[in-house]
Amino acid sequence: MAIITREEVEHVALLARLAFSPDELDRFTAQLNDILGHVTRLGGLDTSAVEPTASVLSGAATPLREDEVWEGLTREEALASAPATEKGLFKVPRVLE
Amino acid sequence: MRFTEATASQLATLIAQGEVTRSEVLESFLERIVAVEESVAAFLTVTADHGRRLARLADKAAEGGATPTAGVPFALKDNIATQDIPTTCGSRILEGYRPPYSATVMQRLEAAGHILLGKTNCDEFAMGSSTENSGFHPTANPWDLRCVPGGSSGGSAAAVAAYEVPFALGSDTGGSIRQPASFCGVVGLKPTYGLVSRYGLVAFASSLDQIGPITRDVTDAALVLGAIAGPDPLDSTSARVKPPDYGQALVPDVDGLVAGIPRELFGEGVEPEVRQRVEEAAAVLAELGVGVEECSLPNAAFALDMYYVIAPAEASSNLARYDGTRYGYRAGAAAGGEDVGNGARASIGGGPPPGDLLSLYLSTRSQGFGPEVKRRIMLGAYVLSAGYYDAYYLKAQKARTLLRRDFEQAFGRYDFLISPTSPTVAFPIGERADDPLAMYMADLCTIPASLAGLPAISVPCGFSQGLPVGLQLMGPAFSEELLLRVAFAHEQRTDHHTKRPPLLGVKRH
Repeated sequence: MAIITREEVEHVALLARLAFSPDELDRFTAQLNDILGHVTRLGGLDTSAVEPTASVLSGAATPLREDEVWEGLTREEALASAPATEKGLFKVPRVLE
Repeated sequence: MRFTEATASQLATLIAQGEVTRSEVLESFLERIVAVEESVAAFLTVTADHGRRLARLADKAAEGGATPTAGVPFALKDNIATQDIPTTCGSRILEGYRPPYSATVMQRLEAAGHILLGKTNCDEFAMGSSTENSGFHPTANPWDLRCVPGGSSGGSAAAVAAYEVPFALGSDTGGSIRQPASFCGVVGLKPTYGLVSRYGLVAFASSLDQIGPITRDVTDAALVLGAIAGPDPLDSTSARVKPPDYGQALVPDVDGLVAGIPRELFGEGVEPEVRQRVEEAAAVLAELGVGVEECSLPNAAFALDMYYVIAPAEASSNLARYDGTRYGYRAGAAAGGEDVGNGARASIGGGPPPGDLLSLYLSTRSQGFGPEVKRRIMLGAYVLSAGYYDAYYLKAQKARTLLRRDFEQAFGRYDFLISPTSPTVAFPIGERADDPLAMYMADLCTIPASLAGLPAISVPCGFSQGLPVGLQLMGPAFSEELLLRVAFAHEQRTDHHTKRPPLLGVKRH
């Protein structure tokens, strides 16, 4: 039985801001099912008594530093790689009508 | 060409003694690059002019009596930011992108006087085990040009193995330094999570990514690690640990140490000849006085499953930033008559610019990313989505805790652990390209140390069918000195690291 259906793949694609052709959707559905079929083995592990690991570092090893003010990028540097700019701002298609 | 076979530390000595200038060294490597790059294709960018300028300046300063700097050429994986020098991560979505700043590791290597010679090819956004997922071109293994160099830092490993550069940096999320080092017969060290600053490393999976050296011997690994390790106020995951002098670790004294061989990393998937080479390496260590025993990391058998939930989840979040707004490719930008930034982005899609923001995101990302990156973003978005988070992501993070406990328990008894770096030697280009799961298996032995944030080194331990085999040594957090000492002791007793790749096989292109 499929773990993830073609419709779900389509839905997740939209969430991830990706668009696929019908052929790609078929291929991705099959491949994602293969991979998820493998990782569902994790369900067999007893994890009832453990906390999740989000980071291997302890807070003691990476204390926050003082919040000091220093020079960052200039506006010109920040905009230099943008595909489109106008009046010193990033330019995107109209969002509000 | 005469300097290209010297190691980084030998070159540093020759330069410091005035036996050779930085410019002479640099030209030797540039000649070598011209000679072999057509076959190996390890580089995405060769920074010849940049390198020549720095070498000339440093030579002049040295003539004038300034404190001599190292002057050894190096390469960086192309996911490490270099100011005003293209940094693509092997992705079309960043084609032509020139960062406004340099990564901390780049700044530190340059501060030590080392000279950037180029940016190396990799799997797109470091996602892959063969460098075939590069958005630009594959790289060949110098030992057999029909085979992959491993990945994702395949360009860095191939460049070092082919004597195009004395050392390079790679990044390792699930094995991306160690596995290509193993496939190319060179040394690759993944440091403890937090030891090397990741400021300027393009993020893939932030709880796993680490930068580390790829070198031709263990001495150079110690030299390069010493140059890049240590706290960085620009990286909040940088540990406040003062690195020792790793050069002091290079003594061939391992008598009395105890090593474990986790049976979960030495199972059926390991090719018989790979197994044999690793057993021979263990025997060499035993002769030197190391007690070697079989041991168990029970949850390592599930490490691949944890990894293919956690890494894609983090990737799907990290790669949300590629939206065609601030940098990188934007769909239809060239055709839109807009103020196009650097002109390199028109090569993917074309067509009119999307009229609304959602369409812009969809076209930009679908045209800019390659298939493996899309696969991982999809996997990550799915395991993080409502209704599946607990079953996949939270479950994998809890399993990760179990795996860390296994390591803690093992290091209560053993000083370090031994395994193959990869279950197989380098495979033919194309063989696993259409089978993601088969490709993922190449990282079976490297992923456990990644998930636990532990240091691990791959060193050459012989050959199988003419292709290099790698030995992996894993240690407790911040035990790089110990790993370097064991690796050095093994290297002193063997000659695998002195073998030259034939650059045989069919010529590519």
